[in-house]
Amino acid sequence: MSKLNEKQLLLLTIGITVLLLGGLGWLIWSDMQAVEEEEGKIAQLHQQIGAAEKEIAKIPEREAQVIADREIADREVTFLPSEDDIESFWEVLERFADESGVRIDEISPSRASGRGAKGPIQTVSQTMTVRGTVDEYLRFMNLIENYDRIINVTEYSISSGKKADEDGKYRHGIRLALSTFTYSKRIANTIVSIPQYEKKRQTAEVKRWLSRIKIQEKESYTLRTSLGRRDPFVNVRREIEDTDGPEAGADRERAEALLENLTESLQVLATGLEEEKLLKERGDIFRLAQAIKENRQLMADLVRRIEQLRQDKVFRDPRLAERFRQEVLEPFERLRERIEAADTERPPMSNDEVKARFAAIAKHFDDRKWDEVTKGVRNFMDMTHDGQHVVEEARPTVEKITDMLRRSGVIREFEKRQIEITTIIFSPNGLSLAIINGKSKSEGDALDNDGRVVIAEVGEDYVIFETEGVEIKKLKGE
Amino acid sequence: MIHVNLLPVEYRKTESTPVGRFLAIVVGAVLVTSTLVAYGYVHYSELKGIREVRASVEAEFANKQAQAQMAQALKNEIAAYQTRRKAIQKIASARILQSRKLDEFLDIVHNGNDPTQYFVWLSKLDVKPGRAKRRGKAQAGGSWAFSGWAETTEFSRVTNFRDTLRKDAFFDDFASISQPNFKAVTWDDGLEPSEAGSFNYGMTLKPLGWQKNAKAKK
Repeated sequence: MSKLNEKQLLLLTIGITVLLLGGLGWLIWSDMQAVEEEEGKIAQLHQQIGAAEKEIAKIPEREAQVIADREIADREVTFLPSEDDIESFWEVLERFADESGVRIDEISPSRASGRGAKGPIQTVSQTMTVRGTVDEYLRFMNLIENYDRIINVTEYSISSGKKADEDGKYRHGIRLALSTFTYSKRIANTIVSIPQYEKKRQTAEVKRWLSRIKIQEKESYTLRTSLGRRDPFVNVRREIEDTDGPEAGADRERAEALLENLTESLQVLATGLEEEKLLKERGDIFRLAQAIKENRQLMADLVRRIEQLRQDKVFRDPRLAERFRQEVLEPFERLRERIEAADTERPPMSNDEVKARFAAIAKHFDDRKWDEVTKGVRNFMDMTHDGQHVVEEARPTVEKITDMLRRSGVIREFEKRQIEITTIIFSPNGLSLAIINGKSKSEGDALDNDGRVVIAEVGEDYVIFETEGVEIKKLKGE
Repeated sequence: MIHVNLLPVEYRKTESTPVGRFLAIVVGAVLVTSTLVAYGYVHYSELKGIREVRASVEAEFANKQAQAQMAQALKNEIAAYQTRRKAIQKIASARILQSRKLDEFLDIVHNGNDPTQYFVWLSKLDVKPGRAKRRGKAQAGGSWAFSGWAETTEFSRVTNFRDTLRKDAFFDDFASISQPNFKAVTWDDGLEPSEAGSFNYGMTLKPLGWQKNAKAKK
């Protein structure tokens, strides 16, 4: 340093000053840049907040719409089997075959679709080969199409039977394709827990949305009477009959056995109608509903059998034909008139009676006797033609009865879940916590990943869960 | 030349920082200090302040975003319900009650057991659904094809049967029926009747939901 002269020292001083100023200036500049950048980010965040606020403003309306959708969801899918109960599809087909008289030769999944494409509704298709008279097949198809859950007959073919079976009936070869539809209970990936669901459910906005939703009804059909109608798939060409041969003797025996069988069935029906009358007088409405159902089913079966015998001309012998007329047709017509008269006489169920039914079912509901609830509701539905044959003012109670069945179903499903409440940290004025299945949960939390069950309330020694609009209370350690 | 300073030490001129350098140092120090202060202000006040503002806005955004996500999830749920609703409506409306059609058809074939107009029996009935050739809606709701025999060899019996079919309410769901055809057949097998007329017909169903479309057109 001492070697530097004054001029050099001056320059060195100026140089150091400039360097320091330059460095500091750069730091200030970069900080200013950072400030500018931050301002940009803040402006962008404000924009995003603005957009988010627009979305947030829509929450009340969307909540109302979702509540309405959730409330009506079960009714909307009432005729669609869920993924869980699709397994009963085959059992149903077997039952209908049994009821109608057709014989199932083969059931196989349809090659065309199987479990169909991804979407809210999936198609399950089957092809069947059955044998039966045209009347049996018609009844089978009608039972399928009128079933609570939708099953469509997409195509079929009937090839006339060439020979009569041992019982004298001509059964045709029938191939049919069926499809039913199933839906997933999981409606979306994220199920939002709506705070104060029960309270919001009662709001006018929710009711307005509910009124806008049109529930699709499933069309059904009641078969016309087929009495006296010929099976057109039976070849009418016949040999000239020999009524005195040994074959004719066997036919007579068979015809007599059929007559006796029919007479027995008519007696059973007559006894059933007597019992129905007695139950009605006693006011035993639960057993009455069952009796009405059984008697109507027996009547329908008799109609079918008598018609088939007529078609097949089983009673060709004049003496047998006369017996058929006297012992079967005449009593049959009398019983039919009696049933028709009973059905038209029966007044719609009164409001008091509907309320009494509701109270009885509600008691079972409170006692958590779910089978009894189901039985009670079904019985009521049988008595009232699915809740239709009631006085007008009783309709709200009918709705409550239907809802009770739905709620009992929801609770049943809920009870299948393994839920263990081990600890509750209750805070009257703050956030209460419950340890459920080893996890800490508070109000508004979903129980698990499917989001179907949320914690509605944590009490001192209980937790109230909410699922599908139903609140379920569970005690700690229960 | 040699200069000798003869003044006593206390009178000699003391060595000091030259004025120019001194000024440069002072000005430099002032400038550097001011800049340092300015930097301190920008860094610790402006930048820190705005970073705090950003953090707070970010927290606000995170909060709003969570709510917006809820709104979006609600929207998705609504959309899922609407999609399902449409699918259900489509299933229920695009349905042919085959038991109704067959029941009506059997009544027509039976014709009140009145053989004066026609008396026919069938060998085969095929009911098939409409199939779209390419993607899109099927142009027809399906088809019916059936074949059988009329009791006599009179051609008019087969056309009577066709006319009755066409005029019955049963045919409302159909768009067309094939032209009548007839072939006289005789058998020598000892069975009665020994002669008949064989026939077959094909019918095309109107596209599914035609009633709804017809109402909409009105």
